[in-house]
Amino acid sequence: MEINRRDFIKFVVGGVAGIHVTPLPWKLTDDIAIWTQNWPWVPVPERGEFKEAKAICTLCAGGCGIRLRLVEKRGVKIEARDEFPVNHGGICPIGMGGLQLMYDKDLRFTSPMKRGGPRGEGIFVDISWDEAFSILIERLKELREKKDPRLLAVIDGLPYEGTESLMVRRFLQAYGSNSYFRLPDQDLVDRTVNWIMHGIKGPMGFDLENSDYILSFGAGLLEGWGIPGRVLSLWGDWRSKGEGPKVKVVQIESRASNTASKADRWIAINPGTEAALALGIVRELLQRGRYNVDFVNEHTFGFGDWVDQEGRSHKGFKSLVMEAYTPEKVASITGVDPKEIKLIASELESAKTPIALWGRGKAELPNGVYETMAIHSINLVLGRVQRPGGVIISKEVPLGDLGPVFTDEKAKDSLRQDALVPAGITGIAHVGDLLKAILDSKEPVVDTLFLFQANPWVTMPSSILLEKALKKVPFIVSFSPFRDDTSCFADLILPDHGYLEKFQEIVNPKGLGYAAYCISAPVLPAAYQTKPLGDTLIQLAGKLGDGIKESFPFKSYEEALRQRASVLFSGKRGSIKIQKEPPWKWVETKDSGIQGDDKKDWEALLKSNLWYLPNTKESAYIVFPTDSKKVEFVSLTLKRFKDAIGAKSDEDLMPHYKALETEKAGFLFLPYEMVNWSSGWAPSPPYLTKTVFDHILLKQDLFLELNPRTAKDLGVKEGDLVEVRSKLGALKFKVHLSEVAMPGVIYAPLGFGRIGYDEFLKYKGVNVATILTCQKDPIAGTPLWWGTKVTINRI
Amino acid sequence: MGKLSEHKGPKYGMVIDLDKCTGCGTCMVACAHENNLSVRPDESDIQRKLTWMRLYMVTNGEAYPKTEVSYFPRPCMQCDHHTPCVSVCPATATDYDINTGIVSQIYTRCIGCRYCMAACPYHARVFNWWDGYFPKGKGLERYLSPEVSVRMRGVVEKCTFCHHRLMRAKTKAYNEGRRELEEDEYITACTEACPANAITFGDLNNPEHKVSKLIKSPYAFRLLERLGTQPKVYYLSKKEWVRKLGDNYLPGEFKPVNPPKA
Amino acid sequence: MNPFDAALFPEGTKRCSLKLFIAWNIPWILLLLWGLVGAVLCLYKGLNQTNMTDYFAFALWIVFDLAVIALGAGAFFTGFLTYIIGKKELKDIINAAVLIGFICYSGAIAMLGIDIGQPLRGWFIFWHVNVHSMLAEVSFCITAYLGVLAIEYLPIILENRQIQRIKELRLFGNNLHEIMAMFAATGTFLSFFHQGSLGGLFGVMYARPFAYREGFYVWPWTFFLFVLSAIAAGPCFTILCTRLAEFITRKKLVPDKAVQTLAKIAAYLTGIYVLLKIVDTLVWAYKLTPKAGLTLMDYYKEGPYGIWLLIAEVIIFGIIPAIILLIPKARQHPGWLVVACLMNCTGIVLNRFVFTVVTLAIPVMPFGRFVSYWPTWQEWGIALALVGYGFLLFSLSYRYLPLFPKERELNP
Repeated sequence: MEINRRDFIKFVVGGVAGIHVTPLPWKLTDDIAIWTQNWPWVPVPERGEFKEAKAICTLCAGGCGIRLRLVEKRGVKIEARDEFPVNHGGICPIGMGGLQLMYDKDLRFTSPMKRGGPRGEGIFVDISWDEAFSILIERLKELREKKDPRLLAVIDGLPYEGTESLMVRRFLQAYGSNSYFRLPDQDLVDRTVNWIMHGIKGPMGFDLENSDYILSFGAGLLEGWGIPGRVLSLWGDWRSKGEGPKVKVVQIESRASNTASKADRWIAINPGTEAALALGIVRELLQRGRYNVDFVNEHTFGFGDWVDQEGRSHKGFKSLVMEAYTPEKVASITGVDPKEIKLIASELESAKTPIALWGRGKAELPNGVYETMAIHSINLVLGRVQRPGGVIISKEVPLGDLGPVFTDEKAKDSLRQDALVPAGITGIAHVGDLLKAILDSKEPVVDTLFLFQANPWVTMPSSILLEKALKKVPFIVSFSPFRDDTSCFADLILPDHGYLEKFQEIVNPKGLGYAAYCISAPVLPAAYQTKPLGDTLIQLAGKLGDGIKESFPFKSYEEALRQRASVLFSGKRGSIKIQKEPPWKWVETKDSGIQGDDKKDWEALLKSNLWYLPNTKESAYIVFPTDSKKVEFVSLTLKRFKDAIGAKSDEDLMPHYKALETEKAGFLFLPYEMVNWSSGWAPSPPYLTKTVFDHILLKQDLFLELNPRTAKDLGVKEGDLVEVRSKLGALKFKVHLSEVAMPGVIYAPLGFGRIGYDEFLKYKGVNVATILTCQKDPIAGTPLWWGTKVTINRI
Repeated sequence: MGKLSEHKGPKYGMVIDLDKCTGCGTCMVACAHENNLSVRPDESDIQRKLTWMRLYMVTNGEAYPKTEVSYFPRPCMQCDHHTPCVSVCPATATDYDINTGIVSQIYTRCIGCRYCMAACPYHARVFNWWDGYFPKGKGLERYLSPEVSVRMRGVVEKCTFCHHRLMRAKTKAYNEGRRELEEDEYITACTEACPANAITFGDLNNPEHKVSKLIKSPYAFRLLERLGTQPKVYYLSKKEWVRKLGDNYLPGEFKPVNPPKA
Repeated sequence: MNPFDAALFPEGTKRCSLKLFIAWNIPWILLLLWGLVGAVLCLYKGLNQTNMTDYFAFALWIVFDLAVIALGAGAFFTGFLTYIIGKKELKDIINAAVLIGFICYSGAIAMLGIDIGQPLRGWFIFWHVNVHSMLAEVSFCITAYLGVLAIEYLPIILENRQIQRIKELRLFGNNLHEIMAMFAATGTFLSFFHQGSLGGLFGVMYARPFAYREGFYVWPWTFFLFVLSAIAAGPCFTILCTRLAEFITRKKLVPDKAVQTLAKIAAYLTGIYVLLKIVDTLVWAYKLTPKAGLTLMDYYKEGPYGIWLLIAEVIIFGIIPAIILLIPKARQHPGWLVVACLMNCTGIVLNRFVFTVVTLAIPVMPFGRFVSYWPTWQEWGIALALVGYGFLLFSLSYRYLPLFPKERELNP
């Protein structure tokens, strides 16, 4: 049969037309559509039953109440709990992104590890728990038997009254070491002030829920100060229009931070001179006679001139203030107009519940002790202590302890000796002391170093010394759940669970105005081969034996917690049920929810996640356990230690202003903090990178802030690359011009330049903490870091 | 599309109090988390940052020490009048729902022509220039919620007023035998997350809802109102300089709330 | 010695050697390869291979698309003039015009295929069409028009000397010629609408004061201005391509009458367009812009896209070529004609660029930023591949097809 061309064309055309009435082309197009909706590399979240779980957040020592949304066992969202008194519905961006910190494998230590590369590179190799324990036990045994138990040192960033921290100290004590170091933060300073002015060894709190006038000396209320969830929530209340009396916020700092911009008034002040302004305000109050005369007369010592036991007469606080802090003197020091001082004083007088706050930025970097005393003295002359809306200095949480510590002969002998690195008068040494000793001392002061929830690489000024010092430490063990920057220097990792995977607790959430104990059970199954810190310590103790084992008679960390809680229950004070009336109403709790049955109470406590004891007017009235039994403007405690602190005059026992010695040349270099970027121990969840503006971080470049006038003088423009050099070292930045910056001062954000974690944080920007130069606070020994002078050069 | 003004059902809207807003960014994090947004290693490029709620930083332009900064949290405005993006999408991948007032986005239909992005003056729409960043074994998909689909590359996405939460609330109500939702039963993730309670969400058609009352304030304004998009996101600020930044004004056109006394 | 492929040449024409021809085409093939690499990367890795951003949703490719579609308008307009109006002299240039149109439209659609985020879903624009969208109109019409152009191009291919020997194909080609008028009419109708709705794309964006225009019913004034500018510049582009071909082949290919007819019509159209454009600009600057609370200079106060662009587009590359073309002596002068056509086409390309890129560079939010954009090498590759493709296809068509019917007559 012949097929000619005409037929062929007919066939082809017919075929094409025909195919269109078959399903084939339509099915193919439908298939294509389905492919484009189901690309295999696009994750499909697993389905399952939706559940809810309640917990607290301990990414900072805040203990905010949070709610988790779970799909089967997977956490998919975190919300704040409205009914939880601590944060009353508020949460910070770091807490909101907490699940990323749980699940991002590269952010965490997923199993025990040992160092697999040069020290400081953060290269690790997986090992088993057995191997990790045996390496550590071998070393600890050798150290104890052959060398000196005091060569085991601990850097402890855990909350001080927490059970984990108690266990750490217990371990150290039973081992025979007194080499205990904390981070030099504002908490340390606050406790020092609380001790030397009020005689109380404990943290201070602020009853901000009742304050109607907040005079903040640099406290970054919107930058993450205090418990950020709580403070941000309060901010919303303070700014509520028309509902209740208006709360006024006055912010005193050199930079137009968010807090300064959104406060009712911003007072621009020369950096570091806050104490002078505070005392100038006190003088104004005294001058007008409009201070709380009753409180001052009844409950304070050292206000007027006084005579000591030897018959010598001494200047009192009032004399000091009246002489040295006249409006003109204060104006010349601080740059603040005397009219402003008078205005603040009159506002303080007419406010019902004013409060003065301190703590630059997030208050992770510490203030000075005298400085804090000076600001706090505003509260004192107004009698704003242990009163609604004021400073709460006594918050006792009647938890039990962990029982007696058993010290064997070796431990006893060792502990009788002086500490290798002596602490100051506060009795608590901090990391800066340790680093200095490592670098300066000829004899070794540490052989094995433990790191607990501490990341001084980022949180400690002059952290460039850390690198030098840590390289000299023979063996470093980190218990961190995160691959943090300081842990990059470790030799052995025994990783903790992530926070939602373990029992969490906070004793006295930071800055809260009433006694509280937040606790939650694990809400997520452990994602990796980690172990809760408490259990690790118990097991470590068990394997070491030698009396250390006896000091840890707990089967588990949970058991230890229950042991402490049972004392709380038997005390029958406070409430483990969240009451209708919030605790800042200063009324006693009606139904405490405590039944006196350990098991039932424990379950109830884990359900509410909170024990708390609201203040009442009666309970707040305390006898100050100082030498004078009063609040001391002149600290007799300091008098006792006057040689140790180098006190030469009466002034050195009182709040006063002393300028930091800085070089004449150069620009003042100040770090600033952001609420949406972590400069503390916990890393920024990757989501936070979306919230950082490109005038702060662009690709790998961090920007410093310069006032346009200063930039003009320097000859730099927006976007220029510059080198900033202090005595300690140099860092590269790009320049951002902004009128938020005080002319002549350079600002840069903290918390960048990470060397740990993963691609979301690593190597982005530079770590400002490394080049901050510090002087030593004469009382607490903590770093005074706001005097760093730098040179800037275009590169 | 039906006559919008005659629709009696809910019309969801939002009021953001800029004086309460702290610029903390929790709304951005909550939104990203709730809606399964991908996070790339580098999120610093504002022109490619994947975020539905975006915080803008503004200043009053004064010199130090009179400087002030403030923030505009900007979700999708859910424009009510002749929605600019809906009218231009050639494939009907975005649509205005007259039953709720919400402008939807269908990822599986979007062809990625980006016309809607050009039409939107608020930059509310973002494009997936990459596939989502979920490297194998890293674990980032473990916190994804099955209520929101994860997007592939090449499609546009934007704030949907957490439409899945509306579905969640309606399902719950239906299971309890109700048809009506209480005021706080359906709120967006950002509303719930904002620690300062700066964001209020509700039904603009319901005079009892907080949002309906708040928009009556003389301090209430909308972004780029004079363009005629009729956004359903309102802002409140007592600060005149902030309100002035809500729109473009020729000299003399801006009307202060409390004009200076003569 | 005859070139190797001489049997394929049109009857009685001379062509250069095959070796020289291949050498000539190497740069175009390289451009195509560059484009291919870029395209593969974009399809494989995604559109992050470009420098397009959330602000620059439209960029180089869209500018190129709009520009080539405007310049390719010579195809439909010449067809309209030839078959509907009856300007028989244009039959000598219509083939070239159709080919230019085919190149422009096929290249544009190929580029669009890479430009969208999910190319496999491109057909959703037809299947899930939103009839209110200008882009839907554009897509339908340019796809349909590409079909028309293919049908108009097909008979030219069938006129190849060797293919003509196949009786069926020769008859088929002849039949097509008979119904060309119908296709020309269809093409005119389709083109009018899509040239217009390409302008409508920008004019309807009422939330972008820089682009927005009021108009007539649903069609903003940009609709009509785009059509007008396309039919003004399209013939000019046809003239330019023809002149370029003549320059390269060193032959006269098209009689003066055809060229002058196009030039004269283009002159009047350009003149009318420039006038209307100036009126539109003034209304936009002094009525629409203040309504949005802006002044004209607010659009130009920052960034690289300054007011000089407006001056360049409307005055330098608008009024001046219009004047040159309107002066008969200048129009007939070969040098001035080319200059005027070049300037006219540049002006139209500038117009498309301004509507696409500058619209997106200008912030609309009062606290927004001016942004700028520069394409990546992948983007350049794909865009320039269109140029390579054009040269290649035109060269092939000139070599093997009777692209210019009067070639033999003009070159005895």
